[in-house]
Amino acid sequence: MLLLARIEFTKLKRCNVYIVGIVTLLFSTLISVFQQMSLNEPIPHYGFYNLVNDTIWYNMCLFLPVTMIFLGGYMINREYTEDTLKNMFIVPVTYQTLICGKLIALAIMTMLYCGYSALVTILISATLFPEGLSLISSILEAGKIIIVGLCIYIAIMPVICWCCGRKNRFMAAAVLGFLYGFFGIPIAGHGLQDFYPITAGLTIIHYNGSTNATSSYNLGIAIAALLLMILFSSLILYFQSRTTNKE
Amino acid sequence: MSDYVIETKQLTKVYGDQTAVNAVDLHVKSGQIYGLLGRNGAGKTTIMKMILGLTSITSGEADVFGKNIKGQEKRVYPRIGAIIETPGFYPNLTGTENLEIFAKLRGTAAPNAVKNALEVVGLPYKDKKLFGKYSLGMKQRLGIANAILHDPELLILDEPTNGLDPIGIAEVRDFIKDMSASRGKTILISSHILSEIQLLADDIGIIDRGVLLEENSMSELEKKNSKYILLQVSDVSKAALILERQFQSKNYSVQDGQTLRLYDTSLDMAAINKALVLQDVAVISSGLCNGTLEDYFKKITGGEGIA
Repeated sequence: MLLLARIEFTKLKRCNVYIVGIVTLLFSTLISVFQQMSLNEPIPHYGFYNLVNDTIWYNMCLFLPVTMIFLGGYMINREYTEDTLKNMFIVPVTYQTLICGKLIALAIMTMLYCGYSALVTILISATLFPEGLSLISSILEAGKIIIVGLCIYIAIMPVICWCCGRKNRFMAAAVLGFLYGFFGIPIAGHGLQDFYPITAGLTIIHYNGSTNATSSYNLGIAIAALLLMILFSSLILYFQSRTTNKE
Repeated sequence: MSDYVIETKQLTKVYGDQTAVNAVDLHVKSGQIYGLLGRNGAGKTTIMKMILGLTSITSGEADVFGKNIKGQEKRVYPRIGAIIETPGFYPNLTGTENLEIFAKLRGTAAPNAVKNALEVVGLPYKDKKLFGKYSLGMKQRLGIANAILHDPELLILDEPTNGLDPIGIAEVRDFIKDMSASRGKTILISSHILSEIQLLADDIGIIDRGVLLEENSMSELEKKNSKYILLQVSDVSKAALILERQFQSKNYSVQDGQTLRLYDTSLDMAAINKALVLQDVAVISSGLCNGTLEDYFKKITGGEGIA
């Protein structure tokens, strides 16, 4: 499985698709900066923590779900378009193993992208909003960005698995991913963020950046919501593999 | 234990209301080259896919090395190398990088497996050219290299000479012959090019519209179909009627308005000529001819030729 995940990175060699994540996650932080700068009455003492919170928020509701679904869908779709599935199957690599390899690679990519997002946030904060920025806070807040990113990734795994089942489904899945993330905004605002898988990560890190978010986090529910997503993903893979392996 | 490396029993594939492969019994012997000959869309690829377990079998069985592949994939696949339809690789990677992926996945033990496989098919090792920039011939060669990478006992090659230039075709042909003759590999090869199969195969299966019309050794087939009586007459339909009524022979094919081939060479040619002339059918020429495999293919597929 780990070998397959490593091979996924080789398969993406010379692919410019990486840029999508680099650009979108850069926007996550930039939007926070522009928003702050465009306010008539800027938030007093807007500093590193505020910037991290805003970045986490935009990663969650705007950029990370759609980016990771797009990338995952692309990685899966090209096995269909380049007609490489038949070569894989007769190695033999089963459909489930192949997809699991891709999911692991995507989880690693999510961490790398979130690490990059954290780095961008730290650099911008150091330049424009240095209040609260220190080595310790940088490490801790970067960890939060990565943890939320991984939780978002778990939340979108069923959508990625769904788009494995058929060729060219990944664009529709990316749109679905966008809506999935976007609905996190009202849901988090109504105290349902523990139940909604995309926002469950906020509970896990005890996020306090959203003005509407409540502090009554229920960690158990949030973890259960994410575990449910892993279960859904496994079921989708199981049912899809029964047809895809042989057709 | 079966004597055959591949054996299918009543192998059938139905897509919706269309039967793509109909009750095919295929027998591929160890160490032999088996040529599956048929026009495009005859069902060759579907048969190969079913043998390899790449598509489900509607009914019947397909055994490889005496086992049904289903559930035995880990044991059987490492013994098989295959190209099915077009070679599928990652266009952003070089040929070497593509093969290295499959070598890693297969856990190929030989340190120079990739290099050797590329050498066999005449592609450069560690070349910087990306697969996406390859010509169809180069892609086909890389497909063959991938099939032989792990030194399998059985090769299943679906139209491996597609897109190759004449020199490339000859090279691949020599390579396939060598794999069988000196390395004892069993090879199932499909083609719609009759001359290819004729030059390569020890055994041949002729498939048309999903039905295996004939399965025989090439030598038997050549022996069996080496002769026919060629009749050039003024009225072909009348001549056909005479053959059927007077000589009880329906074993003929009409070539055009004046030409008829009679495959039952045991009939008395003089008697046929006499009967035709007596019934007002002018005989322009008649004679015993040597048949080709193409003639035979036309005959058994109902008159339609092949490339």
